[in-house]
Amino acid sequence: MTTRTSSAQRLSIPSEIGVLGAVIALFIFFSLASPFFFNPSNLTNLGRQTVLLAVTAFAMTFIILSGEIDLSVGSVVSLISIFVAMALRDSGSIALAVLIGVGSGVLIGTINGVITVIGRVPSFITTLGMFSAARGIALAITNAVAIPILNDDYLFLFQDARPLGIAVSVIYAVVLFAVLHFLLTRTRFGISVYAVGGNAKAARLSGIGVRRVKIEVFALAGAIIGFAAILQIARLGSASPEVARNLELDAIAAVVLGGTSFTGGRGSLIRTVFGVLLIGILNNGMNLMNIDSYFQFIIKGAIIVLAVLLDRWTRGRSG
Amino acid sequence: MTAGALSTPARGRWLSPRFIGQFGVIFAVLLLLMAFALVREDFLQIFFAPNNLANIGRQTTLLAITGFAMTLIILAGEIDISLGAIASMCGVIIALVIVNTGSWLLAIPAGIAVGALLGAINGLITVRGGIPSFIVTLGTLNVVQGAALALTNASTITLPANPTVNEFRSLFARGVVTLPFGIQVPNPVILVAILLIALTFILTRTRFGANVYAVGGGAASARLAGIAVGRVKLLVFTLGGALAAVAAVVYTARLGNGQPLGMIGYELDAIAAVVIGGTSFTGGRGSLWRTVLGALLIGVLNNALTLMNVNFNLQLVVRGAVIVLAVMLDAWTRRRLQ
Amino acid sequence: MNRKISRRQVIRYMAAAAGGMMLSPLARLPHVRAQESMAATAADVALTAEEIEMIRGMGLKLGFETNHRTDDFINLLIKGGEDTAAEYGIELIVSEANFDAAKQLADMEALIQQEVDGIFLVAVDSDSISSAIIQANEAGIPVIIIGGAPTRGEVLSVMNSTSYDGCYESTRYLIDAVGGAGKIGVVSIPLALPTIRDRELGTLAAIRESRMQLVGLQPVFAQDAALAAAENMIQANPDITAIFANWSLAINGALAAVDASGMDIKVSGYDAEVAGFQRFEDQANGNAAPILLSLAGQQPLVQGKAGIDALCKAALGQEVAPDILVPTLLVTQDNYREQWDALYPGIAAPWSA
Repeated sequence: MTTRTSSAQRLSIPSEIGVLGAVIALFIFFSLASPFFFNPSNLTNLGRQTVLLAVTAFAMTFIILSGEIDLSVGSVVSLISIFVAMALRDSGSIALAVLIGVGSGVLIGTINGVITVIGRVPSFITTLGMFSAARGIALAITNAVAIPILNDDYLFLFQDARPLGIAVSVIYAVVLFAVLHFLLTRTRFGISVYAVGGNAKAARLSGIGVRRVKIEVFALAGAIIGFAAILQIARLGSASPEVARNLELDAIAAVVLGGTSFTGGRGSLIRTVFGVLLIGILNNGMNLMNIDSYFQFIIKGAIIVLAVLLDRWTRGRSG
Repeated sequence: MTAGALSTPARGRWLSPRFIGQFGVIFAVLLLLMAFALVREDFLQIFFAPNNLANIGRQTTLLAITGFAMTLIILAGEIDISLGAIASMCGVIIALVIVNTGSWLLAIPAGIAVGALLGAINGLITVRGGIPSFIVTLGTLNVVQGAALALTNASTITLPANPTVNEFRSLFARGVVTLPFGIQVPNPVILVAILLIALTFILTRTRFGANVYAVGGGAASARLAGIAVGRVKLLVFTLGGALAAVAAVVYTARLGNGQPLGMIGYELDAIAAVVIGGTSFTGGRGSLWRTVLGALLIGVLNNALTLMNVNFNLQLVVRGAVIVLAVMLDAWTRRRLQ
Repeated sequence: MNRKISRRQVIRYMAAAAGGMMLSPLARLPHVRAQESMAATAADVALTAEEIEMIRGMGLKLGFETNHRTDDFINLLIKGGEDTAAEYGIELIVSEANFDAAKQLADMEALIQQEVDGIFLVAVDSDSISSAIIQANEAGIPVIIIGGAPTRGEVLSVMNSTSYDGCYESTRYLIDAVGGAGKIGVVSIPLALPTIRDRELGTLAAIRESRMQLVGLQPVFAQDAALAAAENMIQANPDITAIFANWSLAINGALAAVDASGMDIKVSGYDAEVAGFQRFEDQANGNAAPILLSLAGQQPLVQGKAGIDALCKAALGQEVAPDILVPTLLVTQDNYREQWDALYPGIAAPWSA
């Protein structure tokens, strides 16, 4: 385990260049290697394909920064998808559906947070329980049958619209990023998230309500995940109890690839964006190059390990 | 990670509130069994039938052995989420060696060697690279899974039913040992018992075992005490990989084949078994018999729910709730102690 | 015979079987089955020698996207497609979704991006694939789908195995062999695909026509879970005489459970993969107990070829039937060697080594 660093270190920008460099290198590589990669319609695809991972990874960034982990993300996305689809089907109201999506996200996040903080259960275990339970509930209430989204207004609002020629889901992700980045870097809450994750004892001594901050982080992450579910069903045109398996592992990989410390307290949302782009470009590019699916697993796994190793070395093991 | 109880394994605490906390979980399961008995009158008769107890034993074996691997790794303060992928890979290797050479005596060491090697790679990257083991094994999980699929072209490697294979399957899965009073114990349960005794001996009676607890209790202080932290962790990962291969031996014998994704998912169940048993998730405190208890709890739950024909989906919900409740109860009793 | 099964009957069956404890996965199913009248067969879409020559000159590029690549069925489906494409001089792009609907959508977008002339698709689930189908429609790319029609968007045709009939037939074979009465359990898979529901309904219809009592239906994802489910079914019902498993790995699990129990229980299933044929061979040699009775074998090689053929027909501007049905073949102890040759022509049988 590494020892925790001071908050000054997280502001140092140069160390982010390593990941950004990898993203750019990969982008150039695929542009040269595949004639289909660098063109407007594929870049739109790339954006849409990456939104779900980006939004969940934002939620995961907050959780990891506060020194916790959430393994239930994929199952919860699938469960909330079903809540939203049912609300939309039965009421026809988009506002109600969105409210239910974000609201149930906050509720589930708060349950995770309260069990972790008040029940003193490691979040790995709490969310491992939720991982199993949420998937089971999703399967049970749908009898393993997907619910189609037939509301055209909803599909337009969250998927089909293209203001300024940009896919609307990408715009949501960018706006969400801006809001969350502000929250994390410019507010008292944001600073306390870093403090709690960096050193909970010191944070407590400096008068921060560690337990409250952690529960708030889980609730916020839940809301973000609820929003991810709202975008996800618009993209797929249906809510399925089987969707988003392993999403949590991809989100964790994106956060850590970006260089955010797995043990909390150090990192940023910008870094997460880089990590998300790395995985998104890799997935898209490997598909366009028709790389055998078995080797896609192998390459992705190897890159996760290598990128983190590289990041560790460029920082000269200062962490 | 500044736990008070450092390097000494839990011993002589049979009457402590902590044990009562454990007992609470068992009590909850007993309550559930009684509730089932009210719904279906012949339930207890079926549940406690010797055959069913043998079934529970067989069904819990894989989880218990993977759980042993995970216990060692968690005790040392690390985690390995690639254990399911490693076990699947070893199962494929074992099946391939049996199919191609006809010798299971050759297949078992081959499988264990591969498991130990993959575990050692995880350990090496974690220790040398200074990367959290969760991330390392998240990467290798993908690599090993892809390699197993590529190796088999995604096919199940089926064992032919010849006398040698039948001997292998009987020895590691179907066979029973008859104890005094005519009690029949399935062979895999005997295997779990042997592993439990041997590994407990290593953990509690050897220098290496003490080092595992010390490293997991606090790597910095262990280093100060002159323990080669890196080497201990490397050994633990290697041993964990080898144990995953032992689980793969039982899997191959039980199912009669090797499947490239067969044991994916066991890593999470194994973590659940370890923490339900009461081993500290942050390392340094816990023991192997607790993991057996945790695995049994999950096994009994699965068995009873299926006997009652409760749908698989609801079983997932119950399992999730039990994991969290068990650990909450454990945390609560621990706090009452202090 | 009347194969229509009412919702109420299904609910009553499941409720009776479960003693009210179990949430039936079938209770709320829509009972839409693949349209069987007017359906074409694989032979109907086969190309003539002249058509093959024309295709050779066209330099076609086709996509072949599957929901996963982890079993013999998918591997052989891909092989059927690849062999045919090689014969016709077609570039074939193969990808798979690892059971993830979002990954499948991305795969489809990659194929559309590469401007393929047609896509043969095995969907993860038939709802979630809709947006991909609509995108293909917009790009003017014809799609042939296996497993069920998408909720929205237009496909060139829907290809199916006769899942309902196959399961019905194989279950009937099992029921007749155990005397038409007694207890039976079913092991299934929790996938959101109409074809899986058809399998369950086919089996339930056969059970309903007999005097068998259904003691449980457990959907599971893995073969060791199937093994445990079957073991527990046997334990809860010591007088059980039959188990039906409706997918390949569940058959392995059910067989292992019955083998270990040493009881006189028979097993039948849907899917006839290498392991099933190996089992029949072992039973013929006396190396394994005669437990496995019948398998309804899908024809993946035929389906893979028919998919490419139909896409070629479309490329040549010809009509393609909206439904292509490929029948399952019943594999039993008496005919397994002939059926191997019928299902897997040109592939070495397990007993040929």
